[in-house]
Amino acid sequence: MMIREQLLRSRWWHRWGEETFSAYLYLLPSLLVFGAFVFFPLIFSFYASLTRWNLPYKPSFTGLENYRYLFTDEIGSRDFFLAIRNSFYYALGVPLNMVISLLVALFLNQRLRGVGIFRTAFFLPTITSTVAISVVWMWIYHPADYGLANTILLELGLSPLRWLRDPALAMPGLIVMGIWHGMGYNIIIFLAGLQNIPHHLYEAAEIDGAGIWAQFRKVTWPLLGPTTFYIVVIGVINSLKAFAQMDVMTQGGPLGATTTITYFLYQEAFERFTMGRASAVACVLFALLLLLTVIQFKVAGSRVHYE
Amino acid sequence: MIECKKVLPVLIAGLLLLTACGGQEATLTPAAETVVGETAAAETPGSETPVSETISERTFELEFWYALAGSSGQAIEALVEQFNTSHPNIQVTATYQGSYAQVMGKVWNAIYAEQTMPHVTQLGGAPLLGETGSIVPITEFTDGPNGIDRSLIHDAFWDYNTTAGQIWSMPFNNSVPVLYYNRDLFVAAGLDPDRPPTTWDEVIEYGQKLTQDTDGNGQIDQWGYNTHSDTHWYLSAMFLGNGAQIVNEEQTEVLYNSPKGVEMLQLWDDFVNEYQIMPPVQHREARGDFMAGKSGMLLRSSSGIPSTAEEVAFDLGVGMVPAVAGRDPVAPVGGASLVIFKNDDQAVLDATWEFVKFMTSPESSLYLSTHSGYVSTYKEALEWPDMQTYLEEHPLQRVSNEALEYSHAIPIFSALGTSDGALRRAVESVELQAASPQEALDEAKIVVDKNIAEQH
Repeated sequence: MMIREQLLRSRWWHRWGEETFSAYLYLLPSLLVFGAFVFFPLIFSFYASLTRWNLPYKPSFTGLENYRYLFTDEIGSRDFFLAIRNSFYYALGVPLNMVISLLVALFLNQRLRGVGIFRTAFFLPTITSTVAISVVWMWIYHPADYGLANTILLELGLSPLRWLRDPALAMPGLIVMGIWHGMGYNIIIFLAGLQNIPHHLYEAAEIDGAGIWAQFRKVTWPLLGPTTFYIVVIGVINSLKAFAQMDVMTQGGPLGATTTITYFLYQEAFERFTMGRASAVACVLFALLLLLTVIQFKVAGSRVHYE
Repeated sequence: MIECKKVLPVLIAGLLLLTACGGQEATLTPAAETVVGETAAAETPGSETPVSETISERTFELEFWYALAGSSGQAIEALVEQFNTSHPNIQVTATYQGSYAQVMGKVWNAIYAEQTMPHVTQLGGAPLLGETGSIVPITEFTDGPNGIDRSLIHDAFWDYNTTAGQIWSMPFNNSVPVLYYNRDLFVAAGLDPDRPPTTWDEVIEYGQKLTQDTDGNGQIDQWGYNTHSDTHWYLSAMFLGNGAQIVNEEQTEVLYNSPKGVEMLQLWDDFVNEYQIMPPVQHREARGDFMAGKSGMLLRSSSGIPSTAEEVAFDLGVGMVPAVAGRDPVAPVGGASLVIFKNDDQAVLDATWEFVKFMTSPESSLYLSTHSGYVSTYKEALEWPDMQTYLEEHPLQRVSNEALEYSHAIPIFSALGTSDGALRRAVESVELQAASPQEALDEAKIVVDKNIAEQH
């Protein structure tokens, strides 16, 4: 009783305790959900990565064996490094996507008639599920001459391609679809960024005699810094996490050309049922994403100007 | 009602026996039809057993997970409904839990998290659960006092539910690969639509006639032959059909890079690269191509026959899986089974078995196979009058049921998932000419053997 009263009367409680306590109380529901569905699986998956866990057998502790397999085993490292390479290949779509989205955003930022229709049109693919889009694009990329893309090629007098069924073209094909799919989101973010740039800066630049290109280089691009940075970070993370299109369209093939880290993880877990190894892949992917994000922050820190 | 219960099964059994004698079946058909038809909804065969008396004093609520959507799923729901109506003291709640892989994932999760399990589940690859110690071997029920005569069901289905000599699960919904073909394209190519190819040599011969550049732009747009995307299944059918072994007796190494196995992958290679009757790596499009009339023949599971027949605009034909010349065809069975999870209460297990027994009885098997593309597991199915009537009305389903004479089980071993993936990769390699058939299968063997060695 005494303690409680003392506590309640103390300056500490007055200044910190009450607020902190209620803050945690408000956070509790979200913390519980976050803990159960994010933190616990994260920690559990790290533990699982240290076990040999081949379903239907029970897990047994093996230390770093799974990591040794991924990095030094003849078969393991070959497949794993190919998957890492493929993931970064797929992530090449991010800068491409950024450039295209920025161009479209600049266009959509003009006060033109019917610009709203275009804004909607560019955003539509983004809100459509990846699986549905994949099915449609499989028809576009159909390897026979009656596929949509091949029909166009034939109309232009070119010879048809085998698209997703050609090891050299499968990944570029997925990248193109990924850009089309992800563009809408980037455009919206860029548009918001563009509209945040005060108009008087352009007026001042114009008075100083800056042309359109100089205005873009000296005003738009630097002030879009935080937006661009956000888009790159999110884009890299999303592209390294991409899975559904590989699952629906290529199943990681042909000849492993589209087996990205996430698809490799899926194969380990649900095709070969080696859960420990799959968890190790997940942990490496986590470390990789963390590292990339830190690097991006370091590199961008000096270049991105916040207002 | 109790008397009915005892009399009807005997009647049915008697009629089945009589029809099995042949000759007289024509005169018996109408009578047998009505009896089987009426009782299919309300009866389990041979329920004049002591066990059902002990469980009849209690009430049970059982949970059943299943994995089929569409018309097959509706057939399962209907069977459960029939069971619940005919067994007032055992009420089964059936819930759809997604694809085979999803159900397997949920079951494994439940096992490792030590959650409450359903009482009975429909599973693909069911016998693999045997090693987890969480299911009761089905032979404890089939061979028990309330058991069944296992010899009535094709051996291949029991093999399909066996690991290391133990039968773990109950064959339920099964299918075999069959050759779908487009009768209209056959006629157009000057082939007899009533005579689908029976050997691989004929597949090549027919395929060459069916492979065409229909619009004359220099690109082939009508292929002779293709397979659905689960290429490992069809390659396994070819292995077994050529007498190649998939895995050794001890299940310690795979053997498909043997000369007989390589011969079959070479044949597959030839379909694509020598005779050019099949497009390279176009299996994910194969079903759509076939449905659109863009390919003449498609090797695919019989489970898709009813939906395909409904959807296509052309005259559909179904033929037996082709054979190696001079050998019998081999139809490797696929599909799923029912497993019973362990329970401390023997009465619950007995009630669960009562349900499984009902779901897999000849009557239910007849119901399922006449309401979906699955085959009946019973050897005498083709002689059941109702089945005969059904097949007369649905001749496309006949071949898959007849194919059971040649049914075989691909051995179930723990690295089967890895093996399937490795075989699909081998197929892709030869189709794209990235490896010779020997190299592709050697590589597959290395990957799979390594996985087997790591299991224990």
